[in-house]
Amino acid sequence: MTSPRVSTEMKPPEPPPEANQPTAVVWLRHNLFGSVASSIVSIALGVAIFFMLRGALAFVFAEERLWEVIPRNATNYAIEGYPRADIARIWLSLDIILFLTGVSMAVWKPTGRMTPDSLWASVRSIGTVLILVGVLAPETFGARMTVLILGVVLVALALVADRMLGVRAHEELIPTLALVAGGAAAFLVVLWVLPLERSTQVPYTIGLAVGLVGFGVGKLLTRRVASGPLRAVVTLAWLISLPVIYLHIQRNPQIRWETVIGSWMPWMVGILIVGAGLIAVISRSGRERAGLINAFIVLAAAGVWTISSPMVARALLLLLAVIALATPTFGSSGVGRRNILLLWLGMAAFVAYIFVIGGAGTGLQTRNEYYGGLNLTMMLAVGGLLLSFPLGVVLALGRTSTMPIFRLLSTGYIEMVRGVPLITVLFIARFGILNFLPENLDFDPNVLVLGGITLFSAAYLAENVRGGLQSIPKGQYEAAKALGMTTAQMTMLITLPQALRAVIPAIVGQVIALFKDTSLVAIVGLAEFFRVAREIVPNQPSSLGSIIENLLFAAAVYWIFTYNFSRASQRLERRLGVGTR
Amino acid sequence: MSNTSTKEIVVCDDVKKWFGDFQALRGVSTTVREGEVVVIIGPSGSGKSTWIRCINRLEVHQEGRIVVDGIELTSDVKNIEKIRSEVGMVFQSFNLFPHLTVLQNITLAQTWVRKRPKSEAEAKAMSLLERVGIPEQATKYPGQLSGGQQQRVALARSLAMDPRIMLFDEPTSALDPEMIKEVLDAMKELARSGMTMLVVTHEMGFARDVADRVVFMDQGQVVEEGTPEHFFTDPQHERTKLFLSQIL
Repeated sequence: MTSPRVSTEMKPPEPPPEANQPTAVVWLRHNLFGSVASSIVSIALGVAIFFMLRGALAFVFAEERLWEVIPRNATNYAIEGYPRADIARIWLSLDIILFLTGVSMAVWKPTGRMTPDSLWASVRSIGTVLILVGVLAPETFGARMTVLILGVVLVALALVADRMLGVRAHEELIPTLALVAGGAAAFLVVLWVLPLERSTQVPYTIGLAVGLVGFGVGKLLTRRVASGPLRAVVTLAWLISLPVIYLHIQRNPQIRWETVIGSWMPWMVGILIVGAGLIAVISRSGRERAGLINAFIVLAAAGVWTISSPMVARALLLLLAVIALATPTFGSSGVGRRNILLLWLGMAAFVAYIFVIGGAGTGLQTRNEYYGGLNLTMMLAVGGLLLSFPLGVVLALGRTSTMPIFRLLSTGYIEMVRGVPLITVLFIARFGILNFLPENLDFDPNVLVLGGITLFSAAYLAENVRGGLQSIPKGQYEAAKALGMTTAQMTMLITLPQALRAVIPAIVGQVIALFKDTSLVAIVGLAEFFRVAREIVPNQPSSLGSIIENLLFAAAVYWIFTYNFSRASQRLERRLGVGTR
Repeated sequence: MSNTSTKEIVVCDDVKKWFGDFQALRGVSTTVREGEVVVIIGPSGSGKSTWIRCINRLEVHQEGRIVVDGIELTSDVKNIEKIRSEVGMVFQSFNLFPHLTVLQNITLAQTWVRKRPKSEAEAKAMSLLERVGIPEQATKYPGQLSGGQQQRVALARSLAMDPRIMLFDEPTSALDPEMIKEVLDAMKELARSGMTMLVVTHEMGFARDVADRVVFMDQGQVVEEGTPEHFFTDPQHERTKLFLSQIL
C-alpha cells in the first residue's frame, strides 16, 4: 500500500519554454533535405523552378516587348471611351471616393498587423526578388545591372535595420495610417519626379489633398459624434455615393423639369406623406387593424399598375408595401417607430431621386458607351455585388421559407438562372429585355447589363446564404421561439446574422468570380477593362503586336484586386470571429 | 413549496404525440397549479422532454388538449408568440446566441418582444445577472463563459421576459459536477420566489428538496406522481421501484 500524498502548496503558472529560431541549415535539413527522396524532389523541383523563372524573365524582358504601350494607354485602361471633354467628372468621382476613404480611416481607425520586423522582412524579400531577376534575366536586358545593384542595396539595408531593431520590433505595430501616408507620399514623388503623364499630376495631387481633408473632417466628427451613429452615417454615405457617382456625376443627366414637376411631383409628394401617415397609424394599431391597412396598401401597390401612372409612383408604392408589412414586427416600439418612419422617408426620397436622374437622358457628347475601362469594371462589380446581396438574401430566405409559394418562386428562379450561362443572361439583358418593356422606357445599356449581372449573381449568392442558414443549429431557432420572437424577428436578429458570418469565405469567393466575370460584358459591346486589353489597345496602329503585353498587364491588375479581396475577407473573418463557438 | 395557489395554469388532458410511427406520448394528463414546482423524472426516451416542449409548442401535439394560462394550444392559436413570451424555457444545451454579448442576449427579446426601452431592458438584465451571480460577465460573449455560467445566463435571459411559467429541459445534464450546483442553486432560489416550474431532470436531490410534486414517466405516459416524500419513501408502482433502485 502506498501512503497518501498531499501537495503542500499549489504551483503558480510558468511562462512557456522559449522556442528558438532554427538556423538556416537546420531549417533546410528539416524541410527540404530530410531524406534521400525529399532531397531528390527538392533538387528536381528547384531546377524546374529555375528554368521556368528564367523562361518567364526571358520573355518579359525580351527586346521586342512593347511594354511602353501600357503607360501610353493609361487613360484608355482607366475610362476608355468616356468623353475627354468631360474628364473632370471622373476626377470629381475619384475625389468623392478619396474623401470618403479619408473619413472612414479616421472613423474606423484601422489597425494593421505590420510590425517593423515584418516591414523590413518584406524589404528584404523585394531585394531578393530583384537580385534573382538581375541574375536570371537575359543578357539583352539593359537595366540588368541597375536591378541587381538595387536588390543588393535593399537586402543590405534590411539586414542592417534588422540588427539595429530592438526586441520589441515584432510587438509594436506600425499604424496603418503611417503606411497609407507613406504610400501617398511615395506616389506623389513618382508622379512629380518621374516623367510619366503630365496631365494627371495636378488632379491626383488634388485628390490626395481631398483625402487628407476627409481624414481631418473624420477626426473632427469622431470628437463630436458617438461612434455608432457616425459609422452608420459613413456607411450610408458610401452606399449612396455609388449611384450618385455613376448615375449623376458621370452621366450628367439632363432632367426635364417640366415632366418631373408637372406629372411626377404630385405622385411623389402624395405617396411620401400618405405613406408616412399610414406607417405611423399601423405602428400604433393592433394586429387586426394593421393587417387591414396593409391589405389596402398592397392592393394599391398592385392596382397602380393598371392605371396610367409614372413608373416612380409604382416603385414608391411597392416600397411602401414592403415597409408597411414590416412595421407591425419592427416598428411598434417607440424607437422602432421613429426608425421605420425615417427608413420610409429616406428610402422613398432615394428611390424618387434615382428615378428622376435615371429617367433623364445624358448630357454627354456620346450617346451610349460612355462608361469604359476600369471605371466600368468597377461599376459592374461593386454595383452588382451591392444589388445582388439583398436580392440573394431574400431568395435564400424564400427558399428556406415554410410558405410553399415563396419556396416555389425562389427555387424556380435560382434553378433557372443557375442553369443558364452568364453570356446568355447578358445577351437577354442587353438586347432581349427591351422588347418586353413599354416603349417609352429607355434604359441605359450599362444599367441593363448591370441588372443582368445582378440577377445572375443573386442566384448563386442565395445558395451560399442558404448553406449558412442550414448550418445554424436547431437550438438557436428553438431558443428564439421560446422567447416569443416572431419568425421575422428570429430571422433578422438571430439566424441571418449568424448565417452570413458563417458563409463569408463562400461569399468572397463569389465576389472574386463576379469581379472577373465582368470581363464577359465585352461580348454585348461594352468596353470594360479586359476588352481594352484584348482589343482596343492592340488594335491601335501604333500598338500593333502588343496583345501579349496587354493581356499580361490585365492579368496582373485582376490578380491585385482579387488578392486584396481575399486578404480583406480574412481580416473580416478574424474580426467577426469574436466570441463565436 | 407552500405558496401554491389553486389556480390551474397548465392543464394537459390525454396528450398524444407521434414521431413518424413512434408514439412518444401515449396520453399524458396532469394539471399544474400556479406557483407549483413539478419535477419530471424517468428513463431516457420516456417522453419527458417531448411533453414539456409541447407546453410552449416547440413540439406540436396531435391529440388531446393543452391549456396554458387559460388559452388552449391549437393550430389556430394566432398569437403563439404571446403565449411563448409568458412561458420561459431553459435548454440542456443552453442555446445562447453566440454572436451577441451576454447583455445583448438578455436584452434582445425584451426590446423586440416586450418592447421595453433599451435602458430599462439593460437595467433589468443587470439585476438578473446579479441575481444569478455573474454581473461581471455582461460584456463577454457566450463562447468565453463556462457551461455553468452559460446556463445561468440562459436562465436570466428567460426570466427577463417576466414569464409566468418556467420550463427546464434537463438544465444540468451537460454540465460538470462542480457547475451543476451553481445552476441548481439559482433554480432553488427561483422556486422559493414562487415561480411555477416544470423541471425535467436527473437530479434526485433537487427533486427531493424543491419539488411540490414528482411525476415519473415511462413509455410516453405518467406512471406515478406524488409528493417527494411519497415518491422517495413509499413508491407504489413496480416500474417506479425498479427505476429508483437503480439510481439511488
